[in-house]
Amino acid sequence: MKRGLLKTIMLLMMCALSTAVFAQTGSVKGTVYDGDTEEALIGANVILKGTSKGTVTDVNGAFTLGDLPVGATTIVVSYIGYEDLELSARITDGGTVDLGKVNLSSSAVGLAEIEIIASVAIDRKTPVAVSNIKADAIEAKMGTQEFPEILKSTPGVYATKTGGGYGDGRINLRGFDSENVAVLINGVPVNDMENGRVYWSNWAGLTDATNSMQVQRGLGASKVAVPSVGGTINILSKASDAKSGGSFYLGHANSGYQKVGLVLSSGLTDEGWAFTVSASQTKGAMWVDGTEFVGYSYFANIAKIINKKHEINFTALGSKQRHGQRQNRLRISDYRDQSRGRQYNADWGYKKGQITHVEDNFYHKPQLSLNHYWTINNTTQLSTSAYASFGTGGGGGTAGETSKFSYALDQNSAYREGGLIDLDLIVEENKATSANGFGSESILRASRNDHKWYGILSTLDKDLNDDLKLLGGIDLRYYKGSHYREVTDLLGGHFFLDDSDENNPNAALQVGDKMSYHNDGVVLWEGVFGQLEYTKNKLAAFISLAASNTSYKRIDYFNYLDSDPNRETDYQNFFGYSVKGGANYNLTETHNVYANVGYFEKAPFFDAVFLNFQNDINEGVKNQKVVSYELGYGFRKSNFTANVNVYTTKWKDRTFTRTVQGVDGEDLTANILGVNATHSGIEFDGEYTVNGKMTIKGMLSIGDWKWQNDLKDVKIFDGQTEVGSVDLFIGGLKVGDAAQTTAAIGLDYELMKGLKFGLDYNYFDNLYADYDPLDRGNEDEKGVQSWKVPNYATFDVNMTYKFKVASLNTSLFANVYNLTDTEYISDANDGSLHNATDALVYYGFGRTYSVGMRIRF
Amino acid sequence: MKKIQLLMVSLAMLVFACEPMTDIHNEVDNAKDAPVGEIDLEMSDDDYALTGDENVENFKSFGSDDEAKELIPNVLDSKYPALGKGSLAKVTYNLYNPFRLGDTLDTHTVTDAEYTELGFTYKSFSSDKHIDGFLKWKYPEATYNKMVVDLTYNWYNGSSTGEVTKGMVYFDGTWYNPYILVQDDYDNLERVGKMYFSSEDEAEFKIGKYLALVLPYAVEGQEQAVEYNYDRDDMEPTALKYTFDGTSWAAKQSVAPNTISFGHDGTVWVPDNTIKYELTNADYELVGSGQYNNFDVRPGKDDETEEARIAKLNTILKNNFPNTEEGQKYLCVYNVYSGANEVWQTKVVLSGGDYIKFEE
Repeated sequence: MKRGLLKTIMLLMMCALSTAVFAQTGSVKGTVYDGDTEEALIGANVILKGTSKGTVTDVNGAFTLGDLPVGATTIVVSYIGYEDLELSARITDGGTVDLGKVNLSSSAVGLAEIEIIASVAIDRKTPVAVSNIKADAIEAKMGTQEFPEILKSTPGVYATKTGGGYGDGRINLRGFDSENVAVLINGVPVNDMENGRVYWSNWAGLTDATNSMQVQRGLGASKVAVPSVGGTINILSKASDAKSGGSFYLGHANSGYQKVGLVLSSGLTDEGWAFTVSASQTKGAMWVDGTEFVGYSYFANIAKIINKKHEINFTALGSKQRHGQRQNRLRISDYRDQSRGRQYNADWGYKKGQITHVEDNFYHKPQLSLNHYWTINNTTQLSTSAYASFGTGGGGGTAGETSKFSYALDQNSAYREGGLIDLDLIVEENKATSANGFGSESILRASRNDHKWYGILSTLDKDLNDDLKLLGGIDLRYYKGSHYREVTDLLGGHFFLDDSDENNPNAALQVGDKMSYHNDGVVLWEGVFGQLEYTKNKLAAFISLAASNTSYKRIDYFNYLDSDPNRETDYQNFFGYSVKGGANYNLTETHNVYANVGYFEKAPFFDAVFLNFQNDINEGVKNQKVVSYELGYGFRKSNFTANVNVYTTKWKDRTFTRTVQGVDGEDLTANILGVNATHSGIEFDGEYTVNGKMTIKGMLSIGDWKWQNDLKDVKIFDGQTEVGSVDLFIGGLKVGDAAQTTAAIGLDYELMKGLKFGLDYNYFDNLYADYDPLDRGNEDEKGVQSWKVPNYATFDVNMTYKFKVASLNTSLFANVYNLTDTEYISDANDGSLHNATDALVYYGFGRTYSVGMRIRF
Repeated sequence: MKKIQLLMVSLAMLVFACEPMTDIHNEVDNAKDAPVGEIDLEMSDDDYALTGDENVENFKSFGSDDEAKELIPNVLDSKYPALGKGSLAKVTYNLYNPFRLGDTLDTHTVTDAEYTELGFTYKSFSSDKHIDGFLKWKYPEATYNKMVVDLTYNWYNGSSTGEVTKGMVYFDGTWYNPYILVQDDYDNLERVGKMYFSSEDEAEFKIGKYLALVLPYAVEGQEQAVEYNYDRDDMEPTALKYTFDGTSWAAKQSVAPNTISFGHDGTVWVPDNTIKYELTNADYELVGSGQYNNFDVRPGKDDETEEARIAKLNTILKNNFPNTEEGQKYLCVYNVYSGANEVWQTKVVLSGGDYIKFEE
């Protein structure tokens, strides 16, 4: 009986099997890429249309979908953030159809066009050293870090939190600080028009609005004349999503940090409209004491596809914030003396029981841009961005008898209570002097730096023929900056006496009145640029030229009477230009090499042109000059990519002015040329994928950045008479304030579907304390390096978990930074002893954490 | 296997994240000086016991300045064991100060106007208290054991008024007319043929006993000043004050307060007359640093070098204290800007008319 049953079952099984054997099926295979950046897309869905039969692309973007019925079939490839792509394939029995490269285009409306304005580099084509960071990496790892810190595993980068306040981060690229690093948001330059610096607090909280960040090291691919000596940081904000929906975000971190945010997208409507808006509030405190803050960030993008030829895009983004700061660096022994140690902040205290930040920063810089993309014909495209930015705010600080607020070495300071400033005592003293009819001895003030900035950037893109492309454009800017100090808190007194205004001497000032200085800076900028690109088979080459005229005007309301015509200067004009070229040659599918070279002359900064905080014009101020060469190599295989590049950048004639007495005893300003620095190095980065679930990234950057030569006995002449001479002993001195050797190892591991772990190890070495090379006039100190800060390493771990809650896509993020709570110094200013004893430092953060959750709907 | 490898790599990396600041923290912590303090001490009776010297403990005073300089460090070490280098202490102590009668400091006849002013309607004194009161009014500057006055005044003895002249000495807060020993007294004190004592101890002991004989009806609390000759190198008339305690006469050790300054040199307290001086805004103004009232010590700035700062301190000290003695030390405290606001100190000594840095 049993035997019989068994035989029947086996027969049935054989029938089933034979059916399978005799059925006709085939398969398809291919590799899925991001059509714009040509990066492989991992985890894209590949399904047989109309069925649930499908597969997912692997870590190389490759897929094989088998068991497909013979005949004509349609395969649908889809991925979040991209438009679905349908492909037809004719399946043969037992055969495999190779679909080859499947390019998905971003579902963000207008992103491709933004990428053109922003000169986003393309892999194996643009001959520059490039690192890309995509939105999902930013979301997983950014947490509570400063915006530039997400780049710390990129070669050549040294990013720190400085004092530790919200938004107080900074980044140096290849040893150059922010005035020599171009930062572009959607192609629009954001470096300050007067001093070239970038204030990251203006963008704090805008991680949600960031689609990607690309760091181009060295001269970069930007067509626009920008100060990319160290490099260019291209931040692309999210464009409107073609799919409607949104997300809600909740975040929490150490020290009472909280964030709540909302994103809404309309999706692309039938009439061609799409908008995405996001808003968030972040508040709490950072790891360092006395850094309480509030920030409101917003982002809006409205896109309208008019027709096949025209598209308009409007973006507004901004981050209004106020945050307490740790402004003053202290000696290592000062931190050791305080019970709060590394977290100690000398710049705050209690006033009538309320936390009062004596040093803080408040700013709001909305950036608006209206972009127009015009596809004129098959070969010509015009992209224009008209933008405006209005900055208001400044930094809070002290005035009057400021020694009452400072951290005195004398431990018996009457104005310190448990390490904090005894503001109540200062108020009492002001009240006492008020009773006698005097003004406050010590007050709080804000140094305001408001500005209005309008610009237009237009690029014409024309294909001359199959191989040659011409780009040209204009870059016009108008900037007016308003600088003044205002009284913010009289601290118990009735007024503050200030005698800085010629038009209002010995004024008894109230809160809101201007004090110390009030001046405006006007900058006009006209730039043109042109680029020729040649692409044929394996070779891609380009040459570009840019020229600009910068005009500066200064209006001083305090140092000159209103009736004095000298109150307003004439426009001072400076001509700058750049020429660069490069080529990339793809030796094989795997190997490519590239080289670039460039020269540019930078107009001097505003403060170099107007001396002594007055309208004294520095007649002979000269341009700074930069020469750069770079050579690179790339390796691309399915599971391993690597890049190596070597570079040399020479920065010549850094602005150096000295005031001497002329033949008639008057003050003479001499502009001294010859302060040169050379930054050279070798950079390596690579990514290796193991068994599809684990990715290992490595980076090593070794730099040799130093001041080039001594200036010996440079004579200063007044006509024919020698009136002075200058020595500067900086030859061979290492450039300070950036770690010259950095390394990173990153591990990303997918434990199971939706659950990923990451570990990041960062190592920093050869960090020399910061110093002003122009102060090195003493021959006894020739060759004496500034203090070498101890090398240090940090570990960060992160976890991402993606799952569904009631059919809503939910992501959970967790981060722990500096897992081992390493004590290290991230920033140091050199002291006269050039050692650890009198260096003024900031410690890096201890162990911190952040958690967040995003729910998409 | 791969997972174990992953774990090993992670652990290895964790191990290498060692503490980079350990060495520097040790160095900085060890370089930290012992706390610095400034003491103003008036030695109390108990403090004399801390000297470790029995005599000093008994007499609650030091026999000489040198003895004080030698023993007071013991007191400071006991009372302030934590203080270290740079600390300053100003100590006021009792110094045995035998009352040597020098030349008469003043000779005075009480005038009518003075009697009137003080309310003596009869233009005469009738008690010692009157005389004491007058002299205190007349010589308010009288210091311990230093005033000697020959006073001529009208004395009313109960029935008649006569003019009297007496030598008065100011002794421990009161004016006394001392009994001056005569040859007979010296003979009685076993100093036959000599009008002096060559030992203070002997004089003090014997006179005390002598008073008991010559003033048998003394009452408790009664005071008597006695003058004798002390022969050291020269004949020095010396006064002693005795108080009767009911049984015997005890000489109060005449002491005068004296002050010596000490400084801690890192190991011990040594006599040091350093004056600590904190610069004022007027001082900064004087040397051209009045804009921020500090010295800018950043590299390349005016006050970076110590010589520059000492030159400015010279100007200030010479301006403020033109009569300073050679060898006087000043510990100058001043504000500096080094990139941050700090307070620095420099010790200078007046040497050859200029202030130079004092090397410890």
